[in-house]
Amino acid sequence: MNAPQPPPTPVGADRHGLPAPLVQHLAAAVEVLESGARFAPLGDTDRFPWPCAPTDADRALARAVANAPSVEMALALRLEAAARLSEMLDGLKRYQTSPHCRTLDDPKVVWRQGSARLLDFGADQPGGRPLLVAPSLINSHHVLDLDHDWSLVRHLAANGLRPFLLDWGEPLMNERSFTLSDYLAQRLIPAFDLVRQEAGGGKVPLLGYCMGGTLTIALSSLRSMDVERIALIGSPWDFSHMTPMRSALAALGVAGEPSVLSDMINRVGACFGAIPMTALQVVFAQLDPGLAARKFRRFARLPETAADLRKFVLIEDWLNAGPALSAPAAKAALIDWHLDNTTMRGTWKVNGQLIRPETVAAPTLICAATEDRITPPRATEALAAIMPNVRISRPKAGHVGMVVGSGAPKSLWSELTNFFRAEAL
Amino acid sequence: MTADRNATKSQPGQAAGDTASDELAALAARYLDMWERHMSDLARDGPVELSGISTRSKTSP
Repeated sequence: MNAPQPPPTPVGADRHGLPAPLVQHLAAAVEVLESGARFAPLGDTDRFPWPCAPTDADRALARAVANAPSVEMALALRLEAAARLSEMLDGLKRYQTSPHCRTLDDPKVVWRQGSARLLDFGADQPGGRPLLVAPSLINSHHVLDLDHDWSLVRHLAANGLRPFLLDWGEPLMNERSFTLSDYLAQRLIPAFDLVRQEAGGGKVPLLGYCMGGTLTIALSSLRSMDVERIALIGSPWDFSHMTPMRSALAALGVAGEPSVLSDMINRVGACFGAIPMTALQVVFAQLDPGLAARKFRRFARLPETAADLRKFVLIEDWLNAGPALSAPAAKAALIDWHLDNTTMRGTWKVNGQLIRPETVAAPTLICAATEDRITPPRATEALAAIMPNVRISRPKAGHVGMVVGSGAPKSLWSELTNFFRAEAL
Repeated sequence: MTADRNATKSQPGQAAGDTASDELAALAARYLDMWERHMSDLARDGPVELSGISTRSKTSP
């Protein structure tokens, strides 16, 4: 007779070298703190390089530091900076060695095309209203299905809907030449047609996250008579307001030179086969160089029993994973959208057809988080001036936090549930 | 990350040394809090080129 087996010891993912780009995060953390210490002696002069307009209290603080005994103050600043860096390292090590990892199984796969899959989250709950969900092409769909008790799509499935979640997949060899038009024509639209079949051939509601929402608008423009309603989460449309990303491109020296950016993408694509997530993370890390330090110091301070601890690890794993992006799709997103703003200018074409959101009469809910730095609210709210039937929701969160943050169930998840279950706006 | 390990070294906001008074340590912590907040706010409008901050700050002409 076999002895009872102990439960398996949780084994975390291999996170050596994460979060990517780790060297860039560490260098930025050092430089943010060191620059503060370096400029401190100027705090009582007009030469102090205030990053933003200072308050009176900020000025008084800078003066106090500048007028303190210089050697002792310099030492105190470096000791404090060292303590902060040490705490960041504690947070990084805690993340790298965490036993937590995503353990959710995918639901039934009802369709495959190339590397793409359509996941049926309501197969075991008959009667749910079919809904097509399109995540971003960058990072995986896991953020919409993060954990057993923390999943937007499972929440929708438990509340009368039948989400079909599109997993774009890691580009196969023949998909590495895919343009955004290909992703629409060969992946999103066939998935949409399958969900229409499941809906009995009627109109289908759509939910899009980030650039998945932008693609959803294109689908709605091409098939406006077949779309029942649309919800967009942090989906950019007016890229003139995508200031952080446009500035990141400028920092790479390519903002004014689409041909230079195009050549760069071609070269990276030729080297890696497609644009790897790590290359995109280098750009993302430039958006806020001090973010990793602040985030991992907070993580280091979380009690072992904190509910947010596991969620932090799972979100960070999601940020650090994700499929590569085909070079043509990267060029379309970075050059056509970000630099040329073809969406807002009304010149975006998919397989020769102009995308015209003004023709989409379906009720549309735009979710624009107030603290979204990836897609600033104005970039997505611009659609409200174009589309005829729009309502705007403004969750008090960031781009990711609005979907998986502690307040998500009561704000975004609840609002989406009500929106999709309603018969009309 | 363990409490024991942290107990043997200084923590942010508690930096203290033989030559720095507790008041200076507290002042340093408040100043770096303020500096990090400014850098984060600056990042809202675009990435920060750290080496060139003196010419890229919002308050520069």
